[in-house]
Amino acid sequence: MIDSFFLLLDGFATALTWSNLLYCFIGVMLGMIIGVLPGLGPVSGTALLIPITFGMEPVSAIIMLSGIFYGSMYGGTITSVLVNVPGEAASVITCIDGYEMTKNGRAGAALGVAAIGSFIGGIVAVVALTFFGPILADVALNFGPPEFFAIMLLGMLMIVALMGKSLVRGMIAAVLGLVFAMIGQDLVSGEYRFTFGSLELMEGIDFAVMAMGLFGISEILLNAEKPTQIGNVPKVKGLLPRKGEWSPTLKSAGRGTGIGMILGMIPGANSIIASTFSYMLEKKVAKDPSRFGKGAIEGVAGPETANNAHSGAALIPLFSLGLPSSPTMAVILGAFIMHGLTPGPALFTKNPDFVWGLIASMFIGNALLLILNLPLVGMWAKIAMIPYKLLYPIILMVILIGTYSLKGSLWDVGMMLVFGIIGYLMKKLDIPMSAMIVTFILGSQLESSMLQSLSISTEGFLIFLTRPISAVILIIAFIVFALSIFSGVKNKRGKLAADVEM
Amino acid sequence: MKKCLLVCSLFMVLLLAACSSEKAESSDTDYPERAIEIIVPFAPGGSTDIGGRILEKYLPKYLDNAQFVIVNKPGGSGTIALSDLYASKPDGYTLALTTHRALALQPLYGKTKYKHDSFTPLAKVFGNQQILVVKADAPWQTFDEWLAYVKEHPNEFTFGVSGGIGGGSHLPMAELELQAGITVKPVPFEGTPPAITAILGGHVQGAILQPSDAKALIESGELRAIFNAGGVPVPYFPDIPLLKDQGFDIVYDSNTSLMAPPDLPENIKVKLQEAIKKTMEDPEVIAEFEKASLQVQYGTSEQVQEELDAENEKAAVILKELNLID
Repeated sequence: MIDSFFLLLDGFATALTWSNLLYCFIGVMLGMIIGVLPGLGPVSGTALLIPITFGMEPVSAIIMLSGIFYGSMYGGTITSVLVNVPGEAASVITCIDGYEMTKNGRAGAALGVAAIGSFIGGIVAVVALTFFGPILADVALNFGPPEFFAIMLLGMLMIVALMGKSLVRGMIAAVLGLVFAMIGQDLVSGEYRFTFGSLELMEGIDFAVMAMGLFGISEILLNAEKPTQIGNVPKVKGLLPRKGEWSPTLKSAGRGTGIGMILGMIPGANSIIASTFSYMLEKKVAKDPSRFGKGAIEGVAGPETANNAHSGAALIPLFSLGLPSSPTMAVILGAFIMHGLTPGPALFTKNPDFVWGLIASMFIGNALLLILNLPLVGMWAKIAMIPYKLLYPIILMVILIGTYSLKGSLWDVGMMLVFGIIGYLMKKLDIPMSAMIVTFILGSQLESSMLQSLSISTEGFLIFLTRPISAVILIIAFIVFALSIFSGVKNKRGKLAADVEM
Repeated sequence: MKKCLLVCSLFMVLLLAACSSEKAESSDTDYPERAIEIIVPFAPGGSTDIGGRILEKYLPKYLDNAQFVIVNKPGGSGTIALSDLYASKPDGYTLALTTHRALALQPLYGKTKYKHDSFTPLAKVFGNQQILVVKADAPWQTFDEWLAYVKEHPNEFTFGVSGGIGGGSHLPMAELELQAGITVKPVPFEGTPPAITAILGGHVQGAILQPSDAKALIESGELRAIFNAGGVPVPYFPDIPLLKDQGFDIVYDSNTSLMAPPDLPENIKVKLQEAIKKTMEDPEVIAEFEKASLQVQYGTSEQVQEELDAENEKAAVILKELNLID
């Protein structure tokens, strides 16, 4: 570990050269902009810039591309909070409470908390990468398909936290999400399901298309309904949390870091899962869960920290095993290869200058982002004060272009609009959209990990109970389930009763 | 009145003729006069995309400094991009860089408008093989030891395939099952990295993948290759035994070619082919490809079509056997 420390110091020598510092700055800056623009996510952002890095030193190139990656995680928050359009996938969860905070005139505090949480999560994940990277990577390998299935099942049970007041409406949303997740090719039989002969549906529905429609378009439609009533937030109050909010905020940032890191290290668990889990945990531990969905600061701090801790930790499997844990990581892996570097067990020994230079640059990059963001928060927050009649047409245009830019396909644009209408109807009927989108994300992995486990298993469904890690997670899931039933029964005016009231 | 109509129609005919001759002339001498799009049917950062970006950089050198633009159109196992190519004008401004699998296999499902022989092949640019890898601590050192094991233990050996059952990485093993009389258990994964993760964690025993994806892990001794289902040895791992040398009639390469829409005018085709050939012979280009672990394998348009025909024919048999097509 002492060795790692000295190697890290060497790394800072590499990262602190003027040119690398500049590339790091350009990277995080571009990343932030890419994150702000809906549709243009880190995947297309990094891919677009790969050709530019051709002539650069490998270390500078990767420093810049990684900067784009974690910078976009910061940027994605901004639009989620201000206009309810997730800039990138991981920020969907931030919309729930972040946008509510904006409506209450607290956009500044939401963005400030997100920036601070992101910084904490990012830095802790990089420290873990520095000192424990290879060891952690080995541990993460113990997560096979059965363990994944158990995690997904736990996630499914926890979505109760996203369900709002009515259990029935929540279940409708959850089932809708699962049905949408089924569209596309079934991995195990190779059959195509619910594609209605359309080539575009063969690979299922793109998450970004769904999220932009459900959240962004529906919000515009809903506001267009009552043009006279739309009043802007009069004034942006405070850029930092209130006095009493610091302690719960930091605590949720701490929990978010833990969740983000653990899930980041497991190849294949994407950042949306990390932010969703963090949100659910925050709601579970909160003294007054009813504040969630109405602008609870913990609902922003936790998930935002988790997705940044995740993006840092996701570099662990990439560096030590050469395995990308997300599509963006796959693009960065491509960049490694183009520059003649092969990530994998040998990377730390073969190219130590490169690895440590990059790790050091991530410390610098995260600090740069915090410095850049805190003063900018005030400026960003003013966006919320733009009159809606000007703001919404702009958002609509950006969403349309963003959707088209995903794959250059008009089909996607059409589908996004359809989801906008679905989202509008769901809001009218008070069906929680976040429950739908989370089951949509977890659904396909839940199914594929179950089918994979069963093809591996020689004892059928028993495989989930004979493997220790999956057994433990399943027991936790069972306890969570039992407790929610218990509290439902105990509390007579429970979730089912609320249906009658509404 | 009649006269007027006659004059008018004559004038129209002349006008049309003038148009068409002008168009033919312009495509004859002036091609290329604007940017040429190369559609890549896969996401950025993958091997097809990386290869495409190397071509984007060097092709202009041999084609009058024409500008090339890579357009990623992932989705539907390549069929969306190829359907676009099929529908686009054969004017030489829309090309696609695609794996043979997307061309030869997908039409068999009968959902695409194009067939495996609908397009104008320009040239094969790079190739790759498919190999079976197992974890380094697995008991089998050689192909024979492995084959003996799977023969004695039917339905026990689990191996990861990327892209699902009936996908390109499942077919070589499915064919080996038929020819060697073995049964093994395929476990589908979404992409190669999750399959490798599962081998390293000991959750599956092996995986069929492209050698470039596992190069680092084979070199560092974490994985071991058992057989090569391709037609040629892997340049950087020449010792992996070829299935066809072991007495099986199995050749599944995963080659990548540049394709143009159907009915590309001959002069444009020739011009493009010459430029591609010169590019692929450029030592600088070869070095770039090698750096990216891609194997330069130049092939003429006739070779490309032959390979596509052969792969289409073989896959039709196997997919029927797997009950995926009628």
